[in-house]
Amino acid sequence: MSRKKKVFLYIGLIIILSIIYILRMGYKFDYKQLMLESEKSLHYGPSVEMISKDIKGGKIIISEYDNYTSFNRVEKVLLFLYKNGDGRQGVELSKEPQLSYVWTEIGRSKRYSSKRDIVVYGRVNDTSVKKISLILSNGDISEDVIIENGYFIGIIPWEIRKEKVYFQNLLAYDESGKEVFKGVDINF
Amino acid sequence: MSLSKIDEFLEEVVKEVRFKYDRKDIKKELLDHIEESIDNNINAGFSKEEASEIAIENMGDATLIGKELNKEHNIFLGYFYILIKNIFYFVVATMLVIFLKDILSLSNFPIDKKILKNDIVLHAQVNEKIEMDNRVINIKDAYITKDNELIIYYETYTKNLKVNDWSFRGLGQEYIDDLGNKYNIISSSSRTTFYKNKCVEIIRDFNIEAKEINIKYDQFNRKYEINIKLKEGV
Repeated sequence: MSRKKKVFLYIGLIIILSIIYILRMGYKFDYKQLMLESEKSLHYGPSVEMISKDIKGGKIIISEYDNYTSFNRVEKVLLFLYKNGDGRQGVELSKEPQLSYVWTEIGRSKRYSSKRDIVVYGRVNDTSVKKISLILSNGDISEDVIIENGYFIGIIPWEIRKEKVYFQNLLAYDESGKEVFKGVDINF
Repeated sequence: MSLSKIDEFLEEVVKEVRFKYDRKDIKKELLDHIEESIDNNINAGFSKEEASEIAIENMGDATLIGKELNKEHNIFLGYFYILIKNIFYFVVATMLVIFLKDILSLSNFPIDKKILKNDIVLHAQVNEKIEMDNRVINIKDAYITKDNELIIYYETYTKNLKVNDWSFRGLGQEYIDDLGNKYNIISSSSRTTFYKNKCVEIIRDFNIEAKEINIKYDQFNRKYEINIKLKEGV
């Protein structure tokens, strides 16, 4: 067999084996499909994506199902594929205050589970809220918060916190920059 | 002509071939040709020295042969072939590790919790299958032991043989016996293979006067109810 033919044969075999590998590992090209399948296997959903944010090594998706809010993290693998990461399903967020939110600490991936980012997410019940800032336990303010479809996500990445910095509170502002909401201080 | 002259000729040829990993094979092939030619020449009546000289002469210009061979043994195709071959070996090795792990996971069966026959007070061979989303939950057996424990064995697997689904979180949220007593699961454990989970749930301080246990699952718009009737004996 000529070298050219051998190259084609190897490429063919690599493609076939790669497909088997991707199927076996449960990787997906579409993170939304991955999220829906993950929720289905948890007997939850299907939820609708409300907001998502790219983070180092993956993506965080906040979605809505019935009266519940879920948080899903998908990890990027092999450049363009996604696999399941952490998740919290069935969080009931109140529609009452201007903002209702929860925060959670998540390992960046199975490989870097000790690198824990803090994710603050919730509902924006007051449409006048245009900007949200996170107050960190060292007094710093993070403005790495996005608002979309009545939800928000804020991240305090591992690089900033290094275990010593935590989420302490949040502030919400209207279009003019006036403070319209302040959460409850979390003390450590 | 001495052997070193043949070597010199071969070296001159292969130095034109840029893909060095093929040089050894080319040398071997050319040497076979030369040796065959030498044998023929000796058979034709030439001395060994003359036979070698004629054989080399008949081969032609070493540089020209080398250049022609260099075209055939393309350096880019050569290195690409090595790269793709190594990628293939890596992929095969990875797949073997995964499948080996899958096969080894089968040895996780059976589950740790075993009951001695003498300890069984009541038993139910349930064999009831429940389907929820893609998951099949097959409740196998339930036992009440002398230690007032209710032990329920079940298996779960996904219909589409998906291997990366999350583990099942538990049979239900509400456990009530026929006397109206409510229970909580004290411990549960599972053994996972690549396609199936074998699970056990244990309720302690179960009222052994009870003859039935009703399990309700009602979460996130999924509902089912199982009624297990327990009988004396194994």
